[in-house]
Amino acid sequence: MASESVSSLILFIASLVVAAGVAGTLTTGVQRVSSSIDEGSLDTAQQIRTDVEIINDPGRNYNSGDQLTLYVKNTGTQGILNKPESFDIVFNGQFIPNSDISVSDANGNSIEAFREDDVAEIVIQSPDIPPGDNRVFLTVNSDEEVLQFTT
Amino acid sequence: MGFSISAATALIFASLFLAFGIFYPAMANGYERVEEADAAKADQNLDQAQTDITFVSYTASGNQLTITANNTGETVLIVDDIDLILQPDYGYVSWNNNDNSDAVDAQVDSDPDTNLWRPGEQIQIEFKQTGGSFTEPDRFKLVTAHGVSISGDT
Repeated sequence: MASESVSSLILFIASLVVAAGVAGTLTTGVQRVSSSIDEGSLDTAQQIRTDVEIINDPGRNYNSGDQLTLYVKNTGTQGILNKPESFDIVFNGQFIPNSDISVSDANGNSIEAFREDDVAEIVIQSPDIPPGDNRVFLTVNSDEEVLQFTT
Repeated sequence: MGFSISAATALIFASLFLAFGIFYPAMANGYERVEEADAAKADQNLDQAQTDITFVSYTASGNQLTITANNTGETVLIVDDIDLILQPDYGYVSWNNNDNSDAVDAQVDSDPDTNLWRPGEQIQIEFKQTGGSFTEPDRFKLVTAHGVSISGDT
């Protein structure tokens, strides 16, 4: 009789331990997925809100040997930080490292971030514009813009 | 035996409730956030589609350029947000409408103080070269909100 209740007790404790393990794993997993969804949705929302336009005049004759200046207008509803890290530039197939880019407000204001309708002035310090047809590919928070021009 | 099964089941169910309680707000918030961004984007696209400006005239006299354009769209444009690019010599130009010391002045239907360029109205943008010798630029480009622009040879 006593052995039966002892074995029942052991089974009871064992079932609780197993159930608690399952419950713990489940909630931890769900918590992890939930925080990923939270962060993912934040990123997605920012990517959807980001929209920029290169407003350089493509009809202009550029001089080879000059530094290229890009004027980028924020036409989205997401602010863009005023620093080279915000802009990824590929110039004629060559990635331009952040150290070769200088970013400032085209209106000369000292601002932390480019808000709606602000214009960023991006100067590519190296390389200079080569003669012939050129192509600049700009990526800002997954929004891609292309400028094609000729010297 | 029966009691231990019900206790374990109760524990599992409680954890399911807890998991749902954690998952649902994250899911709902995330969905709402993306939905809001989508709506903002759709609004912007609509505004962009409804924005249109038409070139009227370009004149240069002395050290001053005048560009006239009509708002032929359906949206009200902000004068302060207009960008003027005169190339190759001047790069990018923008201005505060009420600041008369600026190189650029804008008048909307002869009103120099308004900051609104409404549908059907005509804007006259004057660019004065202050200091240095004046060289007429080869091209001009006028950019309004949403990146809607006109450009042309001078």
